Amino acid sequence: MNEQELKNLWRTAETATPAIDFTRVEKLANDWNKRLRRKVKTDITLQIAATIAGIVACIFYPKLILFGLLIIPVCIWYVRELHGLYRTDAATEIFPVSKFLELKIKTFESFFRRTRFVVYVVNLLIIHAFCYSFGFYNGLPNDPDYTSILIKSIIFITFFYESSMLIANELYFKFVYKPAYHELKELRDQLNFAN
Amino acid sequence: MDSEYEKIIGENAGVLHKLCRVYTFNPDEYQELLQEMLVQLWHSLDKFRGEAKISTFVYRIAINTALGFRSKIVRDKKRYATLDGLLFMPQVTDFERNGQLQKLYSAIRQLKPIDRAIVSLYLDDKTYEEIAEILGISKTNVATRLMRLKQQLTEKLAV
Repeated sequence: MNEQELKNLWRTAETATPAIDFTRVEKLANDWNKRLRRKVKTDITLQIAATIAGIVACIFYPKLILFGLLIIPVCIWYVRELHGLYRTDAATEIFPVSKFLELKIKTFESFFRRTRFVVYVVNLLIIHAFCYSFGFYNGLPNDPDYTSILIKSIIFITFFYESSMLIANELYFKFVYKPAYHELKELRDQLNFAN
Repeated sequence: MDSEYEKIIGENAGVLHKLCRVYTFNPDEYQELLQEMLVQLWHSLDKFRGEAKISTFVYRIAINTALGFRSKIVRDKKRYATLDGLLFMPQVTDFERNGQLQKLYSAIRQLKPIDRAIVSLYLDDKTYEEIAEILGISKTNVATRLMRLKQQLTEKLAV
């Protein structure tokens, strides 16, 4: 087959295309929006309730204030992440393919970066604040071994927390997000090849 | 549903179906991808400002959706909650009757995902400039790739 024959064959393909059920398409589009909106609302409500509970607990147990000050920004960050997920004004599909792929890849990388910061840095501070609030670091200040025990406790908790979170978080990324992320990078490389 | 949307889909239904054929390997994926394309077009229509041709707009959304579809399938098996009804009643189409067409689709499916888009656009009589605009690459890149792809396609169809 020569080029023109191929094009003619292609042109006549799908001429008997079955009619599309637009009512169903509209229903699917609206259902998807409704489900996402409901999920986001539920998550936001739970986060707000947890935050209020945390604030009330801090009022009655002031030692929790440090813990509260750290966990509230995490809740706000999480709520904003959910809100960002719901935003349909992003509409990256309207861009040229190269820009679409770049945006998708950047979204993933930003997500990895933010999640790692929260999990490895902020959550660690929250753990220590929690331990402090509930007296795990209390000892007898005059005890000569107090400082040494305190330092060892902090190191032990940090090491235990960071190593388990590192394994859990990176495995989570590897099995849930990395395959899609690598696929997008491969597509971008295919597009840019010969540029 | 919005009459403008229906008009655009009506004029470009063949394009959507052809792209679904080259990017999927079974009827379930075909249905799912077609569904995604239609929903994305519905969501994106109000973003169209007329800077490009409507066909460019449709192609971009369809191709981006198809490329995103492959990566989403890998990440998330659960797509829409139900596929309990088809978007259309399947019929015997040209595809099933015409062995040559089936061979052409099969040959295109063997290409890399980006190359499938380039070949589909080329076979739809898009100029190099239009293909470059849709994909966001240079015209030279399009020309270089097409030269190679025509060769590959010829070899696959000759088998």
